[in-house]
Amino acid sequence: MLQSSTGSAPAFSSTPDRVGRDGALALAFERRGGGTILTARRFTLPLQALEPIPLEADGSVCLMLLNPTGGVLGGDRLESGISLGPGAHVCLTTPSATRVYRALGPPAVQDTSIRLAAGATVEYIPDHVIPHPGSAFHQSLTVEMGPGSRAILSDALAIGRLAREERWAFAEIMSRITVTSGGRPIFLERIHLDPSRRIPQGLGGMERFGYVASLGLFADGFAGWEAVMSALEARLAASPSVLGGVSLVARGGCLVRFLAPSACDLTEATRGLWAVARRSLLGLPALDLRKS
Amino acid sequence: MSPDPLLSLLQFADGLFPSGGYAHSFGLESYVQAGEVRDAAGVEAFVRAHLEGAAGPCDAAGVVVALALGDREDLDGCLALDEILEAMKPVAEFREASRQMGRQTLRVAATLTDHPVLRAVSELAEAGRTPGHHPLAFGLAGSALGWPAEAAARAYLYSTAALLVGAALRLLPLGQLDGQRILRAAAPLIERLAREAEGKGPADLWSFAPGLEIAGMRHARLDARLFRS
Repeated sequence: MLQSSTGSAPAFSSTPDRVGRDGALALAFERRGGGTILTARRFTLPLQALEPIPLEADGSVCLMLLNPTGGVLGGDRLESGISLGPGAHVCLTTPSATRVYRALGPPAVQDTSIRLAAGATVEYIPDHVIPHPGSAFHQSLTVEMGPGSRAILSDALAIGRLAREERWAFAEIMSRITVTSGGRPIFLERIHLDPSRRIPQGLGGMERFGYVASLGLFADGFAGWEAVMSALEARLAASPSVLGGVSLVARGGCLVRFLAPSACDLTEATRGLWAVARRSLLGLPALDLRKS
Repeated sequence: MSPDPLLSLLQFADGLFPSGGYAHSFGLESYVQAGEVRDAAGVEAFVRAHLEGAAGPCDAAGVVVALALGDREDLDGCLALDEILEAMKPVAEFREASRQMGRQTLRVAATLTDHPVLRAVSELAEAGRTPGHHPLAFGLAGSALGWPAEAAARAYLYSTAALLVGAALRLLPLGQLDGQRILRAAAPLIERLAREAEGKGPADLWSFAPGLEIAGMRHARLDARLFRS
């Protein structure tokens, strides 16, 4: 059984006109016996991943992806590739929100790709992104679904440091989520925010809220979406401070989109919706990650 | 090829054109029922949000991309664009509206013109083998009828704005003059968005309209509905 774990110092760019760190993370998981094990872990700072923690008796593991120390800086290029073998079940999360700092030159780039083999399950529940004044951030999440695989994906963004009453002070955010099955897209989200051109704070946009979030549920060959959607809608109705809705996506999934007035409301709603998603889609109880 | 692209463009962007758009409010009915849009100013904000957050950067850009693909007779490119549009519309009612309007547009355009890619896409859409989204259909009609790309994007955005204003006039106690004022006020925005749509490729499409999407998602659960979205 191979289990390698290496970390190395950040690889600073050798291009003289570029500032920023090149971080790479590669993780591979496989199902062995009754559980999921980490079979490969390689990273270069500022990306790091902790030891996986086995969860209950369902054969899944939880792994904490550490946010870059001191946040994401302009010019950083952070690339993560995560692969799940047949039947593996992994929950990936972060210890805290991802802060993106002012960029003087090029934007910070963070690309994450997850490949699911047949029957694999991923729960990708990172904390939200907080863009600081002048920051420019390009992020992408790509998930390739295998036959019978399942994914629960969370994505959330603050429009600034709301505790400081700061809104839309970042320079640019581009965010892409691509979920494919058999090489074809089943869900695509492509957001481009440039507050110097347009501030979509009001009706139709942020509706005066400070946080926008999505929870996507995807399962190849699953047929019980109506019941899943009803359960998610009931959970949304139980959080009157958030405004949200649920819809079927093009093929094999559903999406919850919601707006929250505070980080606390966002966290509470995400946890609640995730618990409903686990129960209704995976048939598993809620996870308590006990983050501070 | 049409001798006068302006006339055919007017025909396809006209409220009389049987796209079936009159059955859709694209979330406006949810806002009106919630009491959040109740006057001309509210409708103007709604139309703006729809154009800036979705119809401009996603759909009008899609029209421009489809027109170029039609000119190159690139059927595979058209089908790939249709898949992108399908996957980029997470609200089931909005997705269905775009498919319905697209198929109707393809049907009429395939009857009135002779364009191999448009005919092929129309047949595949009729057979349920491609969604046939409205921006793709409108762009292919433009390729068949010789519309300049920016004019096609402007016309698409104008007809979208007119559709929304038409829905507003049925949902709220507004006069025809209010409706015309809202449309006129949208003109500079339509011009800007059409300019921005030019030269876009399939990977450049984006949207950001969480409020509209949530209104569209909640529409399906309204008790009494006049519109299908």
